[in-house]
Amino acid sequence: MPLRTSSKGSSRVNIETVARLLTIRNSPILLRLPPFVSALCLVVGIAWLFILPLNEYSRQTYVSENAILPGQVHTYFGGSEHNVFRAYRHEVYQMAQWSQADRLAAIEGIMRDIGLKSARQPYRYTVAGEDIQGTNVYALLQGPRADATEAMVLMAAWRNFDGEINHSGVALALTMARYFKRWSIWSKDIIILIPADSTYGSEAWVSAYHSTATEVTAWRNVSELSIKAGALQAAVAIDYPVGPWGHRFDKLDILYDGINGALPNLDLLNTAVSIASGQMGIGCSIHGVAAHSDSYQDRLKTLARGVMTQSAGHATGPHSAFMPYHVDAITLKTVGDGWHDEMSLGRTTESIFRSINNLLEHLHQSFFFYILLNANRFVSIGNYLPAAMLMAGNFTIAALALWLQSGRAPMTPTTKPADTASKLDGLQLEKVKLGDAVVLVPIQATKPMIRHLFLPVLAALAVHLFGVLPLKALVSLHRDYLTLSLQAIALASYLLPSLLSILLVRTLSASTQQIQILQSLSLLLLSAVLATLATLNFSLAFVVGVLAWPLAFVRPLFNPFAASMTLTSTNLHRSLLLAGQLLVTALYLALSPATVLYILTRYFDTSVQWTLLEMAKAWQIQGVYTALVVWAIWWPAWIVGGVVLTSSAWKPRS
Amino acid sequence: MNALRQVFNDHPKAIVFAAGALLRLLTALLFPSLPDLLTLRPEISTPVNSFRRLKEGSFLYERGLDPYDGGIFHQAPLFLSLFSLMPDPSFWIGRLVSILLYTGLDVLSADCLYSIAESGAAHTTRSFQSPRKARTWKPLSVAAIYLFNPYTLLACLGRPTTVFATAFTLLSISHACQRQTVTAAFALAFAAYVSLHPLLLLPPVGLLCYDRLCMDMDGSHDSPPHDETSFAPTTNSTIAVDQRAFPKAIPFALRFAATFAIFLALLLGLSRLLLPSWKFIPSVYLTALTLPDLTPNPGLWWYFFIEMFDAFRSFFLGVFALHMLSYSVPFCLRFQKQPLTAVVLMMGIIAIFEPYANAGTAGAWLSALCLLSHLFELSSLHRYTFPAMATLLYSTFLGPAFHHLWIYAGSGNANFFYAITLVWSLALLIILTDTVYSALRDEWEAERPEGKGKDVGQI
Repeated sequence: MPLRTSSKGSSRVNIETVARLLTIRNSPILLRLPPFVSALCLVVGIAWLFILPLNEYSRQTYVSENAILPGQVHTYFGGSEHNVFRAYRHEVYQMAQWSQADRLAAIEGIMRDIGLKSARQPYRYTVAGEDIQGTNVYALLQGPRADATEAMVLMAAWRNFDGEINHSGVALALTMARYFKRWSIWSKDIIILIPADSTYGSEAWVSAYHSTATEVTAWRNVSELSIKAGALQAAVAIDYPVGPWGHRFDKLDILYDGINGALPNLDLLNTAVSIASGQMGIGCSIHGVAAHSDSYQDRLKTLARGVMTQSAGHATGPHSAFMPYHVDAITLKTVGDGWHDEMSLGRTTESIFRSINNLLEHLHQSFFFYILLNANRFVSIGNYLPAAMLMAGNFTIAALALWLQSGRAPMTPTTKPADTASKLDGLQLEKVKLGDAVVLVPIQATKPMIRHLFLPVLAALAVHLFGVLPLKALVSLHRDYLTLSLQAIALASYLLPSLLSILLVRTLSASTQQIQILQSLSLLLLSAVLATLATLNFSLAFVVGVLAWPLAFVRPLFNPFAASMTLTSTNLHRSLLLAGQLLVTALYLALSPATVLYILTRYFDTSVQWTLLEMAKAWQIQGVYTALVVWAIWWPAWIVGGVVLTSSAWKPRS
Repeated sequence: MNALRQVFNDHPKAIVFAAGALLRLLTALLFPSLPDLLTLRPEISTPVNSFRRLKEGSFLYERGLDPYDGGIFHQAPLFLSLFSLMPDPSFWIGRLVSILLYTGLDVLSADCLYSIAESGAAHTTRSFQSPRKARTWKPLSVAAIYLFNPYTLLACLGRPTTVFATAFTLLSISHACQRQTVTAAFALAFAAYVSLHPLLLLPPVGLLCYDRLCMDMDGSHDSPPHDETSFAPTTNSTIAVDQRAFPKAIPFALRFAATFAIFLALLLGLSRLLLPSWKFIPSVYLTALTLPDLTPNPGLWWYFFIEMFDAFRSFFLGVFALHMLSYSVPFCLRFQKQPLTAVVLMMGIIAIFEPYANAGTAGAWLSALCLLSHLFELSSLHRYTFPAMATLLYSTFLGPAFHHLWIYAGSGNANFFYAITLVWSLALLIILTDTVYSALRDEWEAERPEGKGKDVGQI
């Protein structure tokens, strides 16, 4: 590969091209562009979410898997089954007054009377000094045509997600079990599961179902299952907490968010929606938006609730625990006052199970990544992912720009020249001669600087590893200390940036360039992690991206009343600069992870301790990694931002 | 603080090496489940180097069965006897011992890098001296980059047997730099015995040996011929010194290749003594050529051959193998004046294009690239080092995420992971081509110092 400079002998065109390229490469406009590109990415990324509810960017849902055939069968649940249901409901109501041991025995008794094999599973978790224990009861209905390789789960937690006793839900599950037992059509086994609790009961059951040996540790004691069937194909939970005298409902709210924002295959949701609304005439809602007028506002509201739920990543019902095990699951929750009774819910469940029964292979045809706008409209990943990727891209661009800047000699002091003439005076120009073409380039632009990487790399690594500390504290301390430790973390995170920058700038005498490199590395890491997170849990990546946006624009503060400034600007100008900087600092502090957590708890009207306790339990028991993202990714990046912000304040005066 | 600094100043090498070893052991002790997790990761463990398969092989071997029956085990037979001497790695003591062994290998590799960097073979050769000689990093920095590289750290904990190949390749290069031809040939033979592809390093390592030997004869190598006349395009650049004193090139090459072949034959013969038949030869060495096991890895072959119709399979296997082969000699010809650069570039070709590529080998290559640290100024100023490194970072995070989506969550598919392996290989390739650019540009600037710092056009 022969290399040469464009020397005298070469053609005119070539010289011009090279000269133009050289000027473009070093053009001051191009070098000042990145912050604007970054900001554009940010604005477009956020605006992107607002156009998704439009018809052009979302689609009508459709059943993709041919085998499902939703609503194609006649449902026979009715008639005398109604009497059976009412009897069971009264029994369940009675059981609610009994002790736990009697209740479990009674449920098992009913299951055995129906003719099913039944078993119990006690479990116990100890997190943050809180004991969570209970006993799941479940029974296996062996499908007459099944070969014990596949199974589906019908679930009704004893207590629903809101903590009410699920009278009618449990009764309906038992009635359905009795009814299903008489059919000869099942080609998959059916498991009837009554978890003691909506979140941890089903978690204990499904984790024991998928492990061969369970290990007893100090905080987790989950018994093994004595009865197992084949691979779980789908799970449907019923949430119908109505007492012995019944209550007619208006709509079915379909809950579908899994742990860490995993979603069930869209086909399962479509099946439930098309059966409920098409076959049974029951309206369906998503995320509790009951009066959905299909207007832009309502779609946006549903989308926003979906994004918030998904980004929290915690369980939303008994179905959530199934998602990490690649089992598609939903919860049917009855809402409102209307004219649908338990029999329509039963027929819907029957029809859903008939459809799942038809499956020839695991649900795989339809989408796994989607955002729902109402029960039958969705945005697919291709349409929404760019929003999060733009967020991540914004940080990458900022990192690249900082890296380029760090490789250049610092430009003339931060003063802003009054006019173009003085601007030119401030720069030392250098003649770059290329054949006949001569270009004037600022000398700073052509003189590369050696980057001193050791300190910034070490500092970036150290700060990111340090993020483990608040995480560890918040997930392992006793619940009485959780609020206190968050206060301590909040206070420490306000002080830490200054302390760190004193350490870096004063003790270790880090240069401006090294601070730039530190920020660049931290932003690069943040963007790479957010891009990765966007493929696992879009909403979490997007929300963290939005909350961390100032980090891409943080630059060292400077004192507008310093001697170098007094020559060029007026007093008013300097006061405005000072006010601007105070505003920036306030914004930066307001967007600290701890502050945001406080604001969120205030907004959702929950107590800080409850929120922290739920986060600790979710992290320990269900492996929800939202806490990890907040403390080990966002928090270190925020700290580095603060170090950059305060770095110039501690510079030794020379 | 001052006392610490004093200790560091007195024994910098010992401190850095001890810190590297301690980091490995502490990681293994603090996260006891991490090593076993890493042995399962497709990015680190491939069918030809997986530690789990090695355990399977030694289980069969200890029970008197032929481990090469059944197509699970494809690793060199000497590992069987080595690991049958060690405690069972299923228990913590055995795990710790195996990690100690691999830590030792990493320290050996780092020491080799240290001595290669110390020898100055990268910037000063028989007929060339880099104008950027002063920019070379300290040997200790090169060794530290190897010891604290996250990829080599993870590879050490995941214990793939390719770590042996890396260590012996580096050992061979360091012996070549010290003009010890026979031991260099032996170490390279051992590396090739372990994983076949270091075989391709035979020409560049031979060239390096020859170059260092000639330098030794020449003696006065502080100021190599540097004037314009000695770089006339048609004349041999070494004409300025008495060439008759040099060893003859062709006999030297034959002697080096023969030494290599004898050692390789010796190792194979030794392996035959351990085993009932010669069956291990096709199982170990043909696997790397015919790709019977298509378990995903970060390389470029597996997906291509999953999609391939059987009729075309052998043709494309030939094309892919020839492609790798085709770099070895041309690199030697073009980088005649910088043999160490040829060796490092060829290591890169192997790390990127080998059929069962893994992140450990790629990480070791990235560390070895620091031997050419005098070129970094060129590649970071004129090329895409930072974007390529950023891409590597992205693919390091996205690779495991997409693998998770494909295998565990079931919401992705093979294309997700494949796309990321393409990005990973692309980033490594950009770094490789940038190094080629900088090495050539450096050579060119030595000839024409007036071109320094200028932008170039390409014809």
